Amino acid sequence: MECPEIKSLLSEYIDGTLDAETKELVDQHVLTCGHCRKELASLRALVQELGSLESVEPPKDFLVQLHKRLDKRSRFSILVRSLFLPFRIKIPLQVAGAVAMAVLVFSVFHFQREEFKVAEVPVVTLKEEVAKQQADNMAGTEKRALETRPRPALEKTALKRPPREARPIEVALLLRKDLAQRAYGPGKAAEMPLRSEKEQFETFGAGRALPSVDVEGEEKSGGHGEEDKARSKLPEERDPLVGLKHVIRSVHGKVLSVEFHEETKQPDALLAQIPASRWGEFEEQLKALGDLKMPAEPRIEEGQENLQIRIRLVPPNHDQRE
Amino acid sequence: MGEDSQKPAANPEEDASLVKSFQAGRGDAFDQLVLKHQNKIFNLCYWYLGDYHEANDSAQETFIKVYGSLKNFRFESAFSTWLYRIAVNTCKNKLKSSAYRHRSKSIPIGNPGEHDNGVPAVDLKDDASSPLAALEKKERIRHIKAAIDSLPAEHKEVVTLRDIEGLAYEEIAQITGLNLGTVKSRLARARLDLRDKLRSIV
Repeated sequence: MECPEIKSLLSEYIDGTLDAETKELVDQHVLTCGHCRKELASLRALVQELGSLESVEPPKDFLVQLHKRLDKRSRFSILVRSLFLPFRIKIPLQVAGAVAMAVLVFSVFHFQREEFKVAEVPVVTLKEEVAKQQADNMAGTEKRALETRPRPALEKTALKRPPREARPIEVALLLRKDLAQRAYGPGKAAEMPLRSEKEQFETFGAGRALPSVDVEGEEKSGGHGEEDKARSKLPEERDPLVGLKHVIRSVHGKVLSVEFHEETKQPDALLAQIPASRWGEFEEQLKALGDLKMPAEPRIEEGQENLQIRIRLVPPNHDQRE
Repeated sequence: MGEDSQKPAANPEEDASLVKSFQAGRGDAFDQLVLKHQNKIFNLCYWYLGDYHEANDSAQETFIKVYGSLKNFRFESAFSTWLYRIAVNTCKNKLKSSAYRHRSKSIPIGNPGEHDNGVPAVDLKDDASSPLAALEKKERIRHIKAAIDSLPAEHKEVVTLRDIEGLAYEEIAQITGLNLGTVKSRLARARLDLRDKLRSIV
C-alpha cells in the first residue's frame, strides 16, 4: 500500500475502527515508513489535544434564562391563539393581510372607476366664468327682466340650494363629425352665445317654458359680419352649442356658463343645470348629439331638486388636436 | 484509544423515561432533560460557533425547539441524537445568517476579565503549577479555537462531534444525515486540515 492510501486510513486507525486486516497493513507500513510514522504521531497528538479540551460550561442561570424565553413565547402564542381561535380558523397573518389589501384595492378601483372614465378624455383648462363677463355686457338689456322677477322667491331659492349641487355631474360629449365642424369652425368662439346673469338665478319647475327664439336672439346679438349671420340661420341641431342649449331648455334647464380653451378660444365645456326629474330625458337627447361618456350611475340623491351637469365638448379627432 | 476516547454517553433509557413523563404532562421532566444535556449542547455550540454569547443563544434556541416538539417525539432515534441534530442545525443556520457573518465577535466591555476571545476564564481551571504554565495553556486553547474557527462548516461539524463531543461514527452519521463512509472520509480530511493549521503545537 502506498503512502497516500495509508495517510487516508490514519484517522480511522487512531479511532480503532479499522478491520483487523487493514489495521495490520497500516502497522506494517508505519514500521518501515518514517514519513507516515510522523503523520500518525502528529494526528494522534491532535486528537488527544482536542479530546482533552475542557468543556466550556453554560452560564449558571442557563435554565432560568431558558424559562424566561419560553414564557415570552408562550405569552405570544396565547395572544395569537386568542386572536384566531374564537373564529375557529387559523389563517396565517400573511394571507389575512393579502386579503385585506385585495379588498382595499378593489374598493378603491370600484369607486374611482367613474372618475377614471371621465378623465380618459383630455382635459382642457379654462375656468373662466364667461357668463359673468357677458352679464356685464348685457346688463342693460337684461335689467328689465331682472326687475320684473319677484325678488324674495329668487333669494329663497338661492338659500335653499343644497351644497351637494355645487359638484356637477361630469359628462363628456364626443361630438358627431358634422356638428363638430360647426363648433370648431373659424371665428366661432368670438360670437359664442352665453347665458346672462338672469338665467343663472332663474328658478325651474315653474312651468315657464323659455321661448325658443331666445337661442336665435343670442346668436344674433353676438353676431359679427355676414358669415356669422349666415351660420345663425342654420338649423339649430347642426351647431352643437345651439343644439345643446336647445336640449337643455327642452328639459326646463339653463346654461350656467361656457368654458373656452385657453389657446384656441374654442368652446370646451358647458355647465348646465336641469331639474333632477328630467335627467333621463336629457341624457337621451344628449346622445343624439354624439357619443356620451359619463359616470356609470350618476348619483342623484333623494330629494335633490336640480342637477348641475358639466358637459365637456370633445371633437371627434381630439387626439390629433392635443 | 479509539472507543475509549469517547466521553460517557447519555443514558438513553433515562432520557426516554423523562421524555415520556413530559409527554404525560410532567413539566419538570423537561427541566431534568435540560440539566442533563445542557453542558454538552452548550460545549458543541461553543466550539461550533466560536463565541460564548452566540453559543448561549443557540443552545437556548435548541432547547426551545425541543420544548416545542417534544410532545410529538416518536422515539425513532435516541433522544440525545435528536437533540444533537437540532443543535447542529441551529448552529448551521446561525453560521449562515448574514447577521452572524457580518458582525464582529462580541467581547463584553464591562467585564474584561471574564472572557478572553470568548473563552470564559472561570471555566479554565487554574490547576497548573505556575502562572506561566497557565498562560501557555490558555495560548494553546486560543490557537486551537482559531484553527477550528477557520475550518469549513462541514469539517467543523464532524470534528466537534467526534473529537470534542466524543460521539461514535454511527451517531454522527445519524445526526448529520451523512452516510458512514462520508463521515469517516470527511473526518480524516478535517483532521489533516486541522493538523496542518496547528503544526506549531502538535
